[in-house]
Amino acid sequence: MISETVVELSRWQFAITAILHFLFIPLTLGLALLLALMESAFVLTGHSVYKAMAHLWGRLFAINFTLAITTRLLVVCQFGMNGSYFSHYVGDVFALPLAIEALTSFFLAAVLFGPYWFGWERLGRYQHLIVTWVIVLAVNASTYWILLANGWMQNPVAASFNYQSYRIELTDFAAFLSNPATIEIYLHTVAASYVTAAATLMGISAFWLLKKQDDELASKSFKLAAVVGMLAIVITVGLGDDTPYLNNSVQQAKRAAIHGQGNQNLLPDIETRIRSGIKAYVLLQDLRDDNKDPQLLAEFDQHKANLGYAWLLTPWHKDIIDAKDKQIALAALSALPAYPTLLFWVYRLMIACGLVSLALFTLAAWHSVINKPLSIWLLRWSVYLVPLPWLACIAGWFVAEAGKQPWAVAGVLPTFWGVSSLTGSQLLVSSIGYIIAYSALLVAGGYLMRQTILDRGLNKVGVR
Amino acid sequence: MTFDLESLRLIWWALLGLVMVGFVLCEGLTLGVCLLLPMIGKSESQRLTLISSIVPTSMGNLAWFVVMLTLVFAAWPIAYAVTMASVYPLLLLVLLAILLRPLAMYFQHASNQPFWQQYSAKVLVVGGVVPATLLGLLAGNMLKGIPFHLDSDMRIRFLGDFAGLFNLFSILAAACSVALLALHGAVFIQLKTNGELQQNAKALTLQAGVAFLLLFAVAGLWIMHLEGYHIDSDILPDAASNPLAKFVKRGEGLWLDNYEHLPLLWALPVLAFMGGLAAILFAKWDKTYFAMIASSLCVSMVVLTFGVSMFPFLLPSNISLNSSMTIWDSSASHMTLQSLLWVAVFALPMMVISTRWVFCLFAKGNHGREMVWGGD
Repeated sequence: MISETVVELSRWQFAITAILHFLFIPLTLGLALLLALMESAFVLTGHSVYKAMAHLWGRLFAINFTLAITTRLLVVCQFGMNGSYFSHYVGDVFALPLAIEALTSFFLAAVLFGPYWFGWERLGRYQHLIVTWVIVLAVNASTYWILLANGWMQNPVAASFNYQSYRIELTDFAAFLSNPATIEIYLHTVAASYVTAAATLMGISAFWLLKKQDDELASKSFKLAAVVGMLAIVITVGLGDDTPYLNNSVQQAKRAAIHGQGNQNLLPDIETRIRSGIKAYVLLQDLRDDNKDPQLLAEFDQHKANLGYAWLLTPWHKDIIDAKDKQIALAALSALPAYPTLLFWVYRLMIACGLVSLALFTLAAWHSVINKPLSIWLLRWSVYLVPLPWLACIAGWFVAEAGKQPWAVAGVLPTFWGVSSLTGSQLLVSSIGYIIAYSALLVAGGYLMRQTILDRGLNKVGVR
Repeated sequence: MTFDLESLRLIWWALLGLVMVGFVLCEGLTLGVCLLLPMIGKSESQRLTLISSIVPTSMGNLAWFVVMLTLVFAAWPIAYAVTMASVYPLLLLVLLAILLRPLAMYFQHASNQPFWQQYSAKVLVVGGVVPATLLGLLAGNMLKGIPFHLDSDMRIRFLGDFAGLFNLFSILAAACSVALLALHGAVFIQLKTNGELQQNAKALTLQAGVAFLLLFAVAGLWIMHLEGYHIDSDILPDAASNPLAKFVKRGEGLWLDNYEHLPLLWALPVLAFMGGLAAILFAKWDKTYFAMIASSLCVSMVVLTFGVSMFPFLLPSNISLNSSMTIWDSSASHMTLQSLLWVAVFALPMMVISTRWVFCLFAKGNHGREMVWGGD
């Protein structure tokens, strides 16, 4: 059994690298769309302020996009480095959407970044506009594929355990593509990203407007962001994410936690599954001793869906086979979310942030549509409330992921069972490496963004 | 277009080879140019010209790396898991070096503060030297075998240590990789610049080229006596993936087995050598376009030589021979390989065409001007 320190360090290291990648996604997704709208307005009307907008906001996009792509490289490797057993055990299913995304939309967005960013003079207006829109489509498609992998971890459909290769394998590609969990998550996540980007853009524009009232670029940006953000937040709040209402026992536990209901009633079912998992484990040992009895195989097939529940026992009882009632009860208890109260409040925090943002966007959009002068207090609050959608995104991510613990893949693979057999010191050293590199990256990125926001004119340095 | 598992494994091995060639060809340019920065870029404006030669294509180049890694993950999940987990510290250094690079590259002149320019200058050189060296070191270790063991439940244990990765043969491979990428980068700089920079690059092309040819020849001779690996039991190319179901033997010169069975394969290392030689000569005669083609040929053939020598192994274990990963017993399932193939049939040509298009778009002229904040 892998030591608890290693499990905890691995878990934290993965969570941190994942969230630092996740941090750059909302702005990339949302800004891409806003930039495409600005550029379209420029191409259609020929009004130079739209071009200036596209250039200026393009800088923030470029910084974010660069960070999103580089941190993505790290997350891909983290699956293998940090969770090598996870990679083996579910890689056959989990890596498929990642590979499809890398081959198609990820590659397209990355390769077109050069023409987008450096090609203003080399490409015609319409060509450049096409490049921009292809990037928008690509980043949105990317999100779908990533959420397909993510949704599968929430609701692992279309896959089953193969005793010969000792892992979960894909059984139905079409069913995998249409996982209801993904469809639930997708619109909610994408719309929330648009909200976040719109709120950020609106806040920065408001900051400029507070400094200089008749700033045309800033007021046009403010109005565009207000309208797009308004539409997006209606979708975000209206649709919600119904994954917790899916009919699987892990989601039921999450649902109970966020609604503050007791979850003890789930224990008998979990215990039954653990017993069935033990049965599957015993049969698995027989099968692996080259027993080709078809009856044995049929019996294994009956129980194998619960094999993951047998792994839950390992911290309480090393040999799964002869676990006692007491250990099964302990394991069952460990299958419920560890901090239901925390989930309850974080869920409410997300909703509160969403509702306050809704109110702000309603006001801002109203002022923009009827072309009313923007009052000082509205501008001020637009600046103050920029962190809210960000907070909501992180809270939503936390509820979805922490609500699934102890599972990495719901009902299939516990998180502690998926980590690599690394040593504590290896993890400690690598974590320090990450902290240093990420700090450098964040400081550099933050510095560049700050430059862009504070000194809009400071673009004519270097060889110009 | 449906194939049986055996064909799919073979097809995906070939496709991975192609993607790897694409990766080294493209990302090799970024690495090569960054690697040469301290040697060629004497003044600040020369450095800017050098960096701007690679900047517009660099994000796409990096994307080839991501695609390659993800394809290994999807098509050979356990081989991916073993590689990543076993050489964890090595890869971590590579990744951290690459991680810091793009921001410094794109925004080198976003600010006129001296500290920012110093920071980005350092980051770029490290981002070239570290990956070029360590990826070569990794290739050397893959040929030698990596000390990992698979338990019966497929849990991976790495039984070596970090220092063990720095053995003599692998250091040779690392030197070979640095020389190759320096050659590739120098030819590229020669193609994209003129005047003093071009002359500096030309001199470096000759040096790096000769160094590469020597190192490649030494590595070739060494491999004849290096312990290679061979599957000693019947191969079941259609069976479910389980690396533990075979017997592997190790012996001197076994990496040459494939060449004995199919002598035509000797063309690969020979073409690599000739490509390198031609790159040097064309560069000397100032036929830079042909030098670029020759150096690309050389790079591709080196990658293919590496892959073909190891076939059917992906990652041999030198401590628990039977745990070794081969393309037959560590692949993804039939359905996954087949589904991914449908995507790849469209995606791979798209990748090649779009990469080519971006390189052509930025083929002419100096983008130093556009580089400063997207040229508004």
